[in-house]
Amino acid sequence: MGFKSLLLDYKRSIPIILAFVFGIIYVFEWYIDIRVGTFSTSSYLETTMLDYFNAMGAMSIGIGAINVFRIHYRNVSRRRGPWQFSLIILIMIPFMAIISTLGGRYALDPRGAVVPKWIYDSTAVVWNYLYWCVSSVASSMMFALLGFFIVSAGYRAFRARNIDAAILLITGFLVLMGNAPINSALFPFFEPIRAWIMDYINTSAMRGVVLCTAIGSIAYGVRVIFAYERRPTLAGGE
Amino acid sequence: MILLDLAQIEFRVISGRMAQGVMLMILGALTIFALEFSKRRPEKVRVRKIPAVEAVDEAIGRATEMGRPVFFTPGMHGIGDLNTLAALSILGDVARKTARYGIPIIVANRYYTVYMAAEGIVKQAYAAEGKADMYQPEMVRFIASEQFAFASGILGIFQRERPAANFFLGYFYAESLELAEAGYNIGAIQIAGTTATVQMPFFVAACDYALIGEELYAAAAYITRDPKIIGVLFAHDIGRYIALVMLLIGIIAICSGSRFILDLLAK
Repeated sequence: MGFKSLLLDYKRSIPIILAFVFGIIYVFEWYIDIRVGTFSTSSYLETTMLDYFNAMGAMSIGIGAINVFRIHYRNVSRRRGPWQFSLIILIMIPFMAIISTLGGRYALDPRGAVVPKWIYDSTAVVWNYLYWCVSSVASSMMFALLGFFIVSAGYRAFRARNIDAAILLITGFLVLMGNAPINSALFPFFEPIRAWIMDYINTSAMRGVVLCTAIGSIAYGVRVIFAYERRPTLAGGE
Repeated sequence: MILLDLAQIEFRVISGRMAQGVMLMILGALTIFALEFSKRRPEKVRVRKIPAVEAVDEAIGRATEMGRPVFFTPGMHGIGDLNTLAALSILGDVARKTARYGIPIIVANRYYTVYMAAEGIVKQAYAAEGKADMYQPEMVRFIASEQFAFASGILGIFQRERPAANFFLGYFYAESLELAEAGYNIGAIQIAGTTATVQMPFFVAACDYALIGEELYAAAAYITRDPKIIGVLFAHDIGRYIALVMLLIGIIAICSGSRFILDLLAK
């Protein structure tokens, strides 16, 4: 696509131009601060512009909520799959939204300036229960599941089927022996081996990955800013 | 009328970032050179193969044979993250393939903004393949913005809809292994990619193919098979050689007691 046709196709050209202008501004903002009196471009871009971005993100919450409602409404209306869970979602989302607005940590009027204080007091109890005793506990449970998944993934990864897996197995065993408190109490000689593996082998390998990632990020950023990347991410694709 | 006195404008290089800026300009110029070179001389471009990208067709083909959906998630970060952008670039190509073979795709999102972008991408991919009527709004889903609610939503999708191919591309946190293990348990072929160094071992252990670090960005270019874009991999490789040379110079300088490189980088 030529430059002229790109300008004529405004649906594609406007995002490309915006990406270029703001990409360049944000790159240079990191290195050069332009000051006029007390005004600083760096602090303006790092605070005010990001506030705009967050506000735009917040406005799209409604669209996400519509999607959730649409999917679960269809599940319920067609009695598809375990539709009862969808029904719970359809009831609980608006219920939690109302409760959160009136009571709890994020209430709009916790001091009762407009909404009567007794509404805050009574809904705060419900919010606290639903947030701390249901949502938070469920999240902790999901996080705890990770322990079991690590064991099953580790079991598969550490089977010594080839030389690479055997090295992984030996390294994993040494780190495990050095990390577990009881092992380091019973076999203290594992601790320096663990420390050496983590501080030298592991750290240097991770730094290599981070270094290459940084180079890849720069190349990808250049592709986006200079419109070499014209796939759907930016402007509707070719 | 307020007139701006040009003498008042003050340009100041932020302390400690000059060397970074010079490196950025060198690598940026190198990338543009590589892209322009590959655009003009595509026959000269020879790039390394990325096995995970080669396996995309295999994964989608397998899902087609089994008549089961393909699952894709662009990770845990918002639209402003390069991981997410690279994942969305790949999503466009994956969605076109699923449209071509006539199998459904499920895209799970954590952020509303990413959800909107993903919806547009999948819709366009189906339209581009002449199968706009096959697109269903349920294909692209906003799951939840809370980390483990998002993870449990995906685990539910795995159990109920049993996708045959899973793509986990983007930035991930602790939920990475939960997703990968749950996907393994339903027998899906899995392709994952992230720049989150802590999560990489999990994906390597539990997935069939893993894109490690920078390979995620490389895959976003490589999957197009377009020599004009693939040329960027050439820039990645030259960038690595430059970094390697600088590391060697730094090691030699430090070992010989010179702080030249450290002082230069601190400018």
